[in-house]
Amino acid sequence: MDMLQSFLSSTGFGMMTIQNIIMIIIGITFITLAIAKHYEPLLLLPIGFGMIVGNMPFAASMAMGVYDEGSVLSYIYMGVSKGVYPPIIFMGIGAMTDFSYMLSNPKLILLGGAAQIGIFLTIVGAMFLGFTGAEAGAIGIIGGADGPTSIFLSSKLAPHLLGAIAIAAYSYMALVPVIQPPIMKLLTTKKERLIKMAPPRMVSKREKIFFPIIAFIACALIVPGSLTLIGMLFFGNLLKESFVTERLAETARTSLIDIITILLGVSVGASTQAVRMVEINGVLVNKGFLTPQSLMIFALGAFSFCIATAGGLLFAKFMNLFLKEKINPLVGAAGVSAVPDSARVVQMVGQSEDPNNHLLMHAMAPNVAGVIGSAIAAGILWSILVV
Amino acid sequence: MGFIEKGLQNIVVNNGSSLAIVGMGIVFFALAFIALIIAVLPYFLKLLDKIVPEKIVEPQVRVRTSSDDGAIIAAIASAIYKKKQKIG
Repeated sequence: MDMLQSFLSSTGFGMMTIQNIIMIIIGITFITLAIAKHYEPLLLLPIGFGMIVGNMPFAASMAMGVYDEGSVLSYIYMGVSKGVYPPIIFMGIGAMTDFSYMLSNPKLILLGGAAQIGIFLTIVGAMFLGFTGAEAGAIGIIGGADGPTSIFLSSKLAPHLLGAIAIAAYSYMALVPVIQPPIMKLLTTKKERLIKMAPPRMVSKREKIFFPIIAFIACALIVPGSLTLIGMLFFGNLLKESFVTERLAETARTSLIDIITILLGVSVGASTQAVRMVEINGVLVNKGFLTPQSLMIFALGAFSFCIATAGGLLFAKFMNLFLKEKINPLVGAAGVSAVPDSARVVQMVGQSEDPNNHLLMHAMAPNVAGVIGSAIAAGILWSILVV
Repeated sequence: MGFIEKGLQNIVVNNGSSLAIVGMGIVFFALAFIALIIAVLPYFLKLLDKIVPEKIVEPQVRVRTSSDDGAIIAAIASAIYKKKQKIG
């Protein structure tokens, strides 16, 4: 009888807490959103399932969780905690990105820069709420709307907040079609939304090959902290554009990025244990996911994302004051680097006003510039705040 | 000390406002520099074209190089045929 009692107390039913149940419900919600609503299914589904895995209770002596040394999940999570997966994802993004729209209209790059204001204003906001400089930097990067960059930076600056930051970043990326359109409509007039832009010029093969090399050197010299992410992004792009390494480019943009996405998604999800007591200076502190801190991170992330969208839009309007050939300000919203979702949203909103207005190719320019911009911002924050 | 005062003090202690201004400035400068490079690149390439004309390179097409492909296909077809005969 004692043995049976001991077994029953060691089952998941015996150890399940209300916090675990809440997290499991959130995980199921993510899976539902991925399957039913198609919101970033490639990310939300692995993350959602990982959340369920991470919140299944087990005896402490069994050491199976992400944070338990020697467990299988801890080895998979090492790619996240050591910042290994994000650069590989960046290489895959580089290998699938066509920079020619950006090359054909370089002034649109500035919109990708303007959208990064979301990052820096959120840092100030996070400091106001009591976060340290490093924590604020890691939270602010959510405004870049770039999951890999958020994970990379938080693994360097605030590893204890990584789970919440990663979940917030990917959630908002998935919610791009929900969050951005109201802001876009609020900040533009109908006349502005109807602006048609001239088709982009043809870009030569040589330009496409020279660009990743020169741009990488420039970025790495200005912000050495961005070397890893930007380096892998442009390396992946060079694999694609050189035409002589098609096999490598194909692997980087398909199998490799898929494998890393699976490992990253599941392990980030599994890192969201509801309650995780850690002893700090002899005092037990909850470093789990369900804390008021996580809620603040989600609120700051939403703020950051909205400001980033508004920043790109308003800067496009500002540029129009000086330009002969006007930019459709909607394109500025694509300055957040959720590629290619925010560019698609621009196309969708533009076409809802005029079905013959095709903004997708124009929006791709600030969109990929946003990827570069957020990686540069991460590099800056890393170099300033890590010391 | 009130919540607002505490928050503002935390921003001052962590140099929040200067970090935001300097950070945003550097991001903008880096992207503007890239935009400048891109704007100049076509002119540079025109010059380069005069010295080394651009060759048109076609993307690599995956071509099966194995000379045994035909033999393998024939072997598979034969195996399937024999299996179907057995089943039949």
